[in-house]
Amino acid sequence: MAFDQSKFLARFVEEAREHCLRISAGLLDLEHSSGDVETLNSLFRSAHTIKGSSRMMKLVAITELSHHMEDVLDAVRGGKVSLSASLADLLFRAVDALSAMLDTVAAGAQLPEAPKVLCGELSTAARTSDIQGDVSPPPHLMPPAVVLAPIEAVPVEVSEAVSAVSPIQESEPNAASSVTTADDTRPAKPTGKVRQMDYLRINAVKLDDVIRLMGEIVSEQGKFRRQVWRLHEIERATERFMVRLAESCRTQEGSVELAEAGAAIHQSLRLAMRSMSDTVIMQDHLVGDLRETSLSLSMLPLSTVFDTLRRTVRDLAREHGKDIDFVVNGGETELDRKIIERIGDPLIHMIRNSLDHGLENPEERKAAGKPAKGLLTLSAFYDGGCVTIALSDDGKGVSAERIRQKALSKRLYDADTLAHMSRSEITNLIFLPGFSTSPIITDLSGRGVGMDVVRKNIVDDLKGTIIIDTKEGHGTTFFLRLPLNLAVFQLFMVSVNGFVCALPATSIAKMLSVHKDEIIDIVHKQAIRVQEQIIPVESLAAILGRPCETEGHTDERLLVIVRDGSEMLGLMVDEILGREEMVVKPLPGHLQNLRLVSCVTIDEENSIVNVLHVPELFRLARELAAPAPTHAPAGESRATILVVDDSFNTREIEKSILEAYGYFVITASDGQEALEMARDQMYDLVITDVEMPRLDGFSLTERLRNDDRYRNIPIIIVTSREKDEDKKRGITVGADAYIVKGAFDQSNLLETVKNLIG
Amino acid sequence: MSGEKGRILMVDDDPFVVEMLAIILEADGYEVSTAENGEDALAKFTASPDTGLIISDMNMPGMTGLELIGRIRACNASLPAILLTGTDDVDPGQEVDEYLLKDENIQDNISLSVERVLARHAPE
Repeated sequence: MAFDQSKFLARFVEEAREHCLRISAGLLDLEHSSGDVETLNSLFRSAHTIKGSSRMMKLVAITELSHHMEDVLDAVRGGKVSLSASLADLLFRAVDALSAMLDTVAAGAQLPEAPKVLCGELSTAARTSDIQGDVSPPPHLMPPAVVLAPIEAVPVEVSEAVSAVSPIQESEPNAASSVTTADDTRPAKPTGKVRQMDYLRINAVKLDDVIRLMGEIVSEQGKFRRQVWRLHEIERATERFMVRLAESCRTQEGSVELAEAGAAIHQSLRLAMRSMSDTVIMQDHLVGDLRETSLSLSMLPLSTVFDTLRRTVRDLAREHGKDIDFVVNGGETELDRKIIERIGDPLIHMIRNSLDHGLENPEERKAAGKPAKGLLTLSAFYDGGCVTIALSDDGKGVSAERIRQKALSKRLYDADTLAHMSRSEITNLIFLPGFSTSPIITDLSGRGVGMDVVRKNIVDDLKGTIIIDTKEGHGTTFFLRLPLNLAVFQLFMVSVNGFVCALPATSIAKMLSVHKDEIIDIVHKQAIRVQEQIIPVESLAAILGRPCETEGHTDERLLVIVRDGSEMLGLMVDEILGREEMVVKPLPGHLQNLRLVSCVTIDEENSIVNVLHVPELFRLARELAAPAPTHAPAGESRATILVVDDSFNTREIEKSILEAYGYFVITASDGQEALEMARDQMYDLVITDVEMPRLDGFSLTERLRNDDRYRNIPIIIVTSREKDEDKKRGITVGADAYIVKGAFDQSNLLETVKNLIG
Repeated sequence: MSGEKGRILMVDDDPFVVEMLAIILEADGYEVSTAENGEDALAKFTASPDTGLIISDMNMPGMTGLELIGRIRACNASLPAILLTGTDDVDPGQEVDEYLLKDENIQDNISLSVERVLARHAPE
């Protein structure tokens, strides 16, 4: 047989994955528009298709599982079974299992048998008629306890608020990503339309090469254009010279011929120049088109990330016991594939953050006079050559006081420094490594991953910015501003003292030319007032440690206002040379520790221009303004940890791990003993087991929290109980982290400890 | 007729199936054109009247495979036709020459089935 099945496997996997995504998206849609026949049919077809093609590929286990799913969906479609929340969960689990099997196939591994239990559950579900007396699908298949609401529940103000953030909404909404806007009640159509276009499979590496080469060409074209203009000027100078030469030759016999010959040469030079200029103009157009087209090759709509998040949010909200609407807008906004690939994790973390700290429980919301159901909005729109993604919740907002307390208890800054910080400086503290306002580190809030990692991803890796806009009691919005791609960068070239450097366009808020008197002195710091906002000002030369002429030649000052999070900083520069689209290159390995330079580019004179790392500029500017930042003495004395466990082995293992990392460890064999020890001596951190004789870990935590001295001391509960009730109990008694022993390994414990006490 | 062994029109709403079977048949030396639904198939058939065999899936949105074959036979009554099905509880009756189950053996069966049907229709 000439047919080589293995070559076709990748193709099968890819298509089956698409169908899995469609099933997930369809199930989510059904939670809004329950009983929508078109959506149900498309789900059924997806399961059916996977079944059919897997059978042809002899992937029996996949055939079996998808067959069961098909049966269930057929039963739902026929109105024999209702799509309850638990049935949706079962189908989601089946999709997960299917995706896992596809991963196995993709990895070239042997496919295990179909999961028996799951198949059993599905086949039971397909046969169990659970609709009492009603055979047709009821209008609302979901019981009221479900997280995501039917469309009518979205208040009208919401959609107005959303359209205010998202101008892109005007354009035709991407069917797969349009979720619950009040005016859009159409069920999401399956993405079938797209299929009819012709697609070509291209090796991603080759595509990247094309885009990289395109970037080089765009850069070169810019240099070439400027060189042509220079030639043009030379030609004009030659013309002026020839005119003068002709005049002076008129008086001298015999020189006229020479002058005429010169004029003829000039004439051909001019013609050549003209056609060269035309060529450059045409090439500019073509290169511009080439740039657009080749960048669009690797652009993907954000819906590829947003759609998978809908599922994540649903699951997280259920686990958190929170009742929310998740509204997604602008999924059709396109970004470079490489950015899309790396934006998912930060978004998930930010969503977790909103669920953990932003959105309140229904009871708290009612008490605050808000609707019981929380609202989480994710939108994306184009924004001046960049894309902004906004994640917004209507929760309790970020409390400056709580952040201040936390920073204090974590010894990040002393009370005095904190008292002098501005509101935006305080808000930015949540991006410090190890900072988390969470009262507990649960499995959900992501062990050891904090907003600092989010910021690192967005700012350092993707060259974007994060801005927080928060109002206590009313909610928080995170704005992520991202470049459209990572191949060609929008850079602003500036110069100080003849030294040229570049700033990424994404981090520039404004550029101003001001009179020097507009720059005011506030307690030894320079600042400028822009639209009722006081923005600190610092000379870029001073930040870069270059000599700066304090008195300029004129009274005008050029300011580039850059931003980092919610903070702004005015950089005084000598000259703004212009905006360029440039290919940037990462620093070579041995220079990667340079914090001030994030990457480099090459200008038209082939000299290297540094692209400055904006967060580092902020840090240096702060140091200049306040020469001695008062960090608490970390590591000066070793932190003392109390380890409480009735198992001698566990105790000793934890002790040896912690000691290996420089902590001083004391152990106690049960809660009672620990409590007595804690009365006599202060510990910096307590790690406790739950089940112990005399006094268990929950009670120990509770008792310690009642002791004023231990109110802010971190407590970690390490236990084999992984039930949600137990985690909640851990939260209520006041633990900072809850580590399940099953998932326990030494890095997990260490990371948590480091997060809590550094 | 174009191609070494003639042209086959392959119709299935699952692009994966179409492509996989087309690859197998092309390896066997046929020229294969493909369509993803009945309407599309009718247009392709009209554009290439030299088609010597139609292979169509039974269940497709819009027009079923049997309807499609019926409409094509209205133009060319003797065109050989093979119907693909996912289940074996279909009785296509006399409408088609053969019906073929889309199962794990299809990679081998498709070639055999095509050969059989074409041999039966070959001019003496």
